Amino acid sequence: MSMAARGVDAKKSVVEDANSLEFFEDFEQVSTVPLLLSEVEKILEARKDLQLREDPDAAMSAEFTKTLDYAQRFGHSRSYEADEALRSIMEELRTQTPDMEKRLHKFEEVQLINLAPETVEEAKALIPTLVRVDDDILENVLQQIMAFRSFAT
Amino acid sequence: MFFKLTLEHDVLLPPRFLGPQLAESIRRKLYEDVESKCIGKHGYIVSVIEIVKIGEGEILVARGETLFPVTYRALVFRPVKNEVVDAIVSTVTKMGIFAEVGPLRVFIHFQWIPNMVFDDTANPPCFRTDDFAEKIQPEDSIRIRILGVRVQASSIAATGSLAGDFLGYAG
Repeated sequence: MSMAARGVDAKKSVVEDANSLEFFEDFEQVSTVPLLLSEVEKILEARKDLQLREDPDAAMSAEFTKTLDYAQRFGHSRSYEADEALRSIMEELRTQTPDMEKRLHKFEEVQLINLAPETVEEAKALIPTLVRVDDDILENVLQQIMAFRSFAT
Repeated sequence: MFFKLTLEHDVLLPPRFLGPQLAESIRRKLYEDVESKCIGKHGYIVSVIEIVKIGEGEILVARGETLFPVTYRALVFRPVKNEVVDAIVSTVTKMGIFAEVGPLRVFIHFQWIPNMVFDDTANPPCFRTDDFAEKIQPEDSIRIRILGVRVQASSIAATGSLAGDFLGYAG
């Protein structure tokens, strides 16, 4: 195969797969931050407020509105402070886990908070890469996340 | 999944914008150019979050416009194969269920809807278990696994599955 042909192939066959924690180019950069749905909600609310201040008559796009509705429905209605607290719980866990293999990936951290599984078994079914994490550590994280779940429906 | 990313975009402005409101004009043009657009490499840009840097403008002699390289932070959505997501059911047909994950439309073929059958006598039509104990209809929340993603120049489409432990109707 010529160099050029291989170049094209490599571009097309980036194997993105959550089951092997392989993501798009740039994903592992520090500046790429997976977001909690509650964070998405706050970013979009701020964007909408800006739009309304600048032009009260301008409508947001249908996709924008759908995304905001989605984030509101599944974001667990958390406050900014609760988001920050969850982020620091994850940060702390990372610093307490010297074994890189067992450290949660930033994708897994956000999936755990967004999907909020209730048991270790459920967490490992929804996020299969968590099989490498010890049950007691995972159990502890799940309980901390659950403490921040809003009881509002 | 939704991400915060650092991206770059060249903003082109005609000469009439080169006045005291320049920075403001660059910002508005950036929003107009990139929001609700799909960039194949990273995903769908839902919203610009902030401008990080506006580089030196360069006048394009042939066009008379000025080009400003802009670095910005954006809220981007990109589904990943095998990722589990919550979705909102939009339409139910005999071929399967269409659901939405923010800006993404996901199709779940009936072969990936275990233990349920299509019922077009129900109002609205739904997928349900034989004993009527469970059903999935428009506006319901469902938890699915993304099976495949097709990223195109202007859109992203995905297929999903309800087959698997802890997947299915979610409220």
